[in-house]
Amino acid sequence: MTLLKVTDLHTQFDTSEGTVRAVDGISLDIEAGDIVGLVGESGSGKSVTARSIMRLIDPPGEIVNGEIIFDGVDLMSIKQSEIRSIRGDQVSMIFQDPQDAFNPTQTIGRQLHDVLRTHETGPVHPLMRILGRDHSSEYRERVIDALNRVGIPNPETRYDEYPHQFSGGMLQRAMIAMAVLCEPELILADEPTTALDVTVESKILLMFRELVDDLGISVLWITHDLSVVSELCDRVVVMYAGKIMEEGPTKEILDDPRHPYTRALLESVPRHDMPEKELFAIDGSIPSPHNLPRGCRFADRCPEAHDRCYDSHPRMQKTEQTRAACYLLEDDSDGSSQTEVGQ
Amino acid sequence: MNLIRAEGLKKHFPVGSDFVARYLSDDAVHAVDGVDLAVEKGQTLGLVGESGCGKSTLGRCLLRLLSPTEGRIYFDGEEITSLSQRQLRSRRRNMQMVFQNPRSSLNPRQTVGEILTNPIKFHDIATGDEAEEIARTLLEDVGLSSNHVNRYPHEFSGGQQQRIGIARALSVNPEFIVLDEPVSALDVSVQAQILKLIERIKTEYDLTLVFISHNLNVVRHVCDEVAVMYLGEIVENASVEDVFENPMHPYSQALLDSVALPDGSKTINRENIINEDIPSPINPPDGCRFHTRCPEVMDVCRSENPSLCARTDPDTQASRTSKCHLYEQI
Repeated sequence: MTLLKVTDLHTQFDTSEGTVRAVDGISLDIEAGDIVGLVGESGSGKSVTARSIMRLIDPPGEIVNGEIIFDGVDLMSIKQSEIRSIRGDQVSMIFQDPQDAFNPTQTIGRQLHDVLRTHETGPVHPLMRILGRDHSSEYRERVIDALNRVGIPNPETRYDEYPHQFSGGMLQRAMIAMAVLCEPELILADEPTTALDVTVESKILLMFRELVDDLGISVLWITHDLSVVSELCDRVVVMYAGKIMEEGPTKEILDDPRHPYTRALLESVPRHDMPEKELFAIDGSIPSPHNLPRGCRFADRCPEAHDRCYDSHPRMQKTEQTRAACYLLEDDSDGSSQTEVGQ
Repeated sequence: MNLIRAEGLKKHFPVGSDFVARYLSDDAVHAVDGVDLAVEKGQTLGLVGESGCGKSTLGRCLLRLLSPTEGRIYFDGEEITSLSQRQLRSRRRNMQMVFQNPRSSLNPRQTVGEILTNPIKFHDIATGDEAEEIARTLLEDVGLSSNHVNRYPHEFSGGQQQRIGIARALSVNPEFIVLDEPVSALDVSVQAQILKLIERIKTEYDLTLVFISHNLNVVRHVCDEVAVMYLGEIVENASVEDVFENPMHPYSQALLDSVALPDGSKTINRENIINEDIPSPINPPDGCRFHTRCPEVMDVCRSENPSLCARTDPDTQASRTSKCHLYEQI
């Protein structure tokens, strides 16, 4: 079953220097229970994609076109008040820097407790809050249970501690606890482990994978790190300069990438198990968002670019298991086994 | 020959919220706690460890950007531990640093030309047009265009800014550069460009480098020697092949096990992942500092801090050191 279906999404930002097309016509599906990795360099539009799905784009940004169907509901056409009841309840988000995402003046337990209360019983009267009657021991139990599930030791004591008393890894665990608290159907995770040490990161990835498998939650995991994808994700979507370049099951994408960009990206990762391998450096840098090339977004840096690549951006080509936007795939298909699909 | 050498180096930062407490209490962050280290001329030493292990503090101490609490530092045979700032100035011509965040380490109000010529003029290497000419050559050396001298740092991308940071370090023609996480803030595709640049300038300018990084994959590619740090101490110091192919210290082993690779098949070794919480450097654990997380902990580890043992490889005659009770009996 397709839980989230995004079709032809365009998100733009009006700036003094012109319109920035941060997300330029992307389509992606997330099946129920899948973990999808959204990979790209900084500026490729991956965070904007996640924020667009949650309708968290503020002016001067605007979703100019596209359809977002979540669980049968068209998120583009419903009111802000309705989307608010979906956020946190059915779709929740994990941010890169938990230090910034938590309120430093409230205890961790309190912040998680209030998420539960808001979604289950609604807001409380200010008078009740002043009298301290807005705290329920039932919710407290459930929060402690959630903290325990994400592997925070002594959750009873930790409940009453403030964010600064948590280490970075523990705080990210608390953030994950908060995201799964209302048992959402989808989690959008924006580079949650990028700021952490490798030892901490690998533990959190293992824990997260088990947790979402248990609860049957689908995940869109944004990252720039292909090795995180290989640990965690069922499917990968590779983005570059606002477009999807390639997508498919993790194993196929990492073992046999079809798009030159994915290939270059994999080649440029230094690996400790292959010290003799010459590092491949992609020349140049990601195109300026104010001045995107007319042709394929990657043509300027592509080692296999030819004339046609500079004319227009290639359409998505289907291969057996993956899809990639590249003219090279068009050539070896001859139209028989592969069918063109819209962007 | 050693270009830079540290003996029993310690750097403690006092903690305490107010002035009086700071001077009366004995509490201190043991950022670097008794480090012996030597870098051979022409070699690249990788300094690895988790955040908070003291690798950046150690790098800064080697350049005397921080004054060590205890211990000695020798640069090219001369002790520089107690030189005054004025005396250090002339030595700094030979030792430079490249910082992690290129955006915040370049003065936004200076043009690239000024950023590059200031150190040249300061050290009386050249003046006027001649200095500008050097700056232009430097820019081309690091893969930028020589007419970028009149631009400001904000006009460049992160990778280009890091190139400028490297050019600035090269401007005085130093012998020794400390690179503090030079590629951590960069995208993978740009990271590879900068790593190649670092390898190229190392041979072109005949440099000795200390490469501080938490990324073991990167270290494997650019370094000759590796020192693994944990809570202010060096727990293993060996050639890059030895550390990666045959790590001795359980901590080096654990670090290697947690490195993920972009393969469809490989997964993290589940059994060997260590407990994630690094103890506080204010009260480092008694005995071996790693015993709270070590998978091979023994009774002796809880009470006695192991000494740094050197052993020589019977085949290659290469010496390596590790700080672990497992290897003391041998």
